[in-house]
Amino acid sequence: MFDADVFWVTLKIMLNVRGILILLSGTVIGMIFGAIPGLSGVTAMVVLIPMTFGMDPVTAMLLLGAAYGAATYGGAVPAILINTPGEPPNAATVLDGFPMSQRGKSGTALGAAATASTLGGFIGLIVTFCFIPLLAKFVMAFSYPEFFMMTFFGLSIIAVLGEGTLLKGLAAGGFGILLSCVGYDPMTSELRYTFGIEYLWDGIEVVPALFGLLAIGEVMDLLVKKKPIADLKGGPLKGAGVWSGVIATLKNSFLVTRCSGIGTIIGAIPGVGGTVAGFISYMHAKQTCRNNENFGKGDVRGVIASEAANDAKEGGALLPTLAFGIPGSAGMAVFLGALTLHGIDTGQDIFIANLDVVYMLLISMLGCHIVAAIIGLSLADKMALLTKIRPVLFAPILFLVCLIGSFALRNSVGDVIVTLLFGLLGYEMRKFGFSRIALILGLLLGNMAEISFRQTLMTEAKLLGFFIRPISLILFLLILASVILPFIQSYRRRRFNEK
Amino acid sequence: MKNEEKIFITVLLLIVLLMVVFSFQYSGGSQILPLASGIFSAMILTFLVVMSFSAKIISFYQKFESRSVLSEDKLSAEEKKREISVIVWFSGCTAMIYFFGFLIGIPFFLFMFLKLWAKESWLLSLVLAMVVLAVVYFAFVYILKVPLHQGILLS
Repeated sequence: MFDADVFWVTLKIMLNVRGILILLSGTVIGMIFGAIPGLSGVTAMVVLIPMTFGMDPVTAMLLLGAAYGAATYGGAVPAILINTPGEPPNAATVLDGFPMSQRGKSGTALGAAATASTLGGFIGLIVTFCFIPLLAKFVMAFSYPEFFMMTFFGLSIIAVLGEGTLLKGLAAGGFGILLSCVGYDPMTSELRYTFGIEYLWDGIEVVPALFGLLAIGEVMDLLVKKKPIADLKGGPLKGAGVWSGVIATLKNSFLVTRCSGIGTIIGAIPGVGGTVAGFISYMHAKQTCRNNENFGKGDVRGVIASEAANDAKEGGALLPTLAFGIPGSAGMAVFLGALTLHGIDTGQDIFIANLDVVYMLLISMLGCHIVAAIIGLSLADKMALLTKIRPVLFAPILFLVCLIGSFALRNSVGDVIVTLLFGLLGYEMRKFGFSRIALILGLLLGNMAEISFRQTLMTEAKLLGFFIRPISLILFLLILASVILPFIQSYRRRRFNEK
Repeated sequence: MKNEEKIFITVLLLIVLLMVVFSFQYSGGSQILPLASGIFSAMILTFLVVMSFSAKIISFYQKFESRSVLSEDKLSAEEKKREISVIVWFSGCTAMIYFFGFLIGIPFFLFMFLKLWAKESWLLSLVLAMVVLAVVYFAFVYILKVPLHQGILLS
């Protein structure tokens, strides 16, 4: 499945002057967004998507891949320096990173974070690169029943493992599917839920909904809480000892490899996310390393484990996103939105018709890790100053960028209103613990689920068609297990604790 | 469960129920997914609404789920005031853009928001509003050639 010609052509696009400039810009923007708590690589991509309108899909993926890939390292900077993770996946980095800063070893922690992030990102993407051909063959065995089951498997996993309780996740996913039914029926062209509004004929556009649910929801939360982003007490930030962090990471290369493996596997499971990857790897490091009494008090191995895993998980998350169109995380959901925007279908098609886009995503994320490491190591101390920016200054600007971005998509002012409405919905969902990703996934995959379901009924033996094909049956059992098992586990754990 | 959360879940349930009722008027295949997903969501939301009125049901349900079914994000009175004002400001900004377009709406909203809501200085509010307008104009109109919305009153 590996196509050397396509790979070299894609690599050349990245390595010309324009490509390098785009890679550099994407990386710097991603690092800045990652370093500002409350913002993230997802927000960076949301802001950058309108900029990609005039680009071809391959170049667009270069910019977005670089911004997204670099954000996780950016998020480690405030985690280490001011005890505030820039992004949720950096939460485990705080455990040892901030105590290291308190002990005057912030430079060592930043150096270790930069190196571990780079190595973790590399390992995650290389593993993905090796597995994509295998997975692509597996995807070819999929037909309508399997795609239908896969849609619901992704939704159930995200409902189980995403934000909020399982019930709220399932309700959000169901509501998302219901919203995906607005507009023309994909098979009979019958209008549904349009209420005479012409704008709704084409359905609810995913990108404005995404902008609203994820970005505006966060912006509103930042303004409502009005917390100062960084409360830098004490003297100026020190960046000394960066290279000792690099050496410490290289000395612990086996730990980096193990934690990157954990990150890649967890990343490939839709809905689990980098936060879980970071904490599991941290616990793994604490349990397996010798002389572990300093974990939690400023052990560099805690930073290495967490950072290697949360960067490696992006490689893993690309697998279900590209192969099945099921995003493993909010970032991957935005990627999927961007791919759709550029007219690229995931699943079987992407490995046949758009292999260059797949390669560009992988190499841009690899490239941005190198650039991020160079920038991170040389500017580690100065980057922390970004966290001093007050949310009142950038939050309204971000809100406006989201509105312009959604308008620029189709030059439709209706999209601007949809963005605001989904922003309000996203804020309330966030506040009351409903999974926004589940709603996006429902909205994104509802169409595919409907077509697959009805085509299965037409081509296979009615409803039995979902259960007579082995992969479809296995997926059905996995859906049941993913929904029922957490309830049984919680019940048993509770009984055990009571005893 | 807080009243606000009860209201949110109830509103969501009503929307879903309304959509389920509407789906009955669609023909054969077109109503399958709306009906299935609508009834599924409505059942869960109904259970959540019922649960919100009974502490007993919540404690029974929590035996089976480790994560708290109650939202943990509690806002202070001041934060609630800010929440309402942010919603009003953002809705006002969208309305302003709808009626007067981006090139008037953006600097006006930004200046007023920074000056009145964030209580920033005149100079900072004005400079930031103008800089953002310049960047938007340069990036979208000049480089990307996106014809920005002129506003339904002005176009």
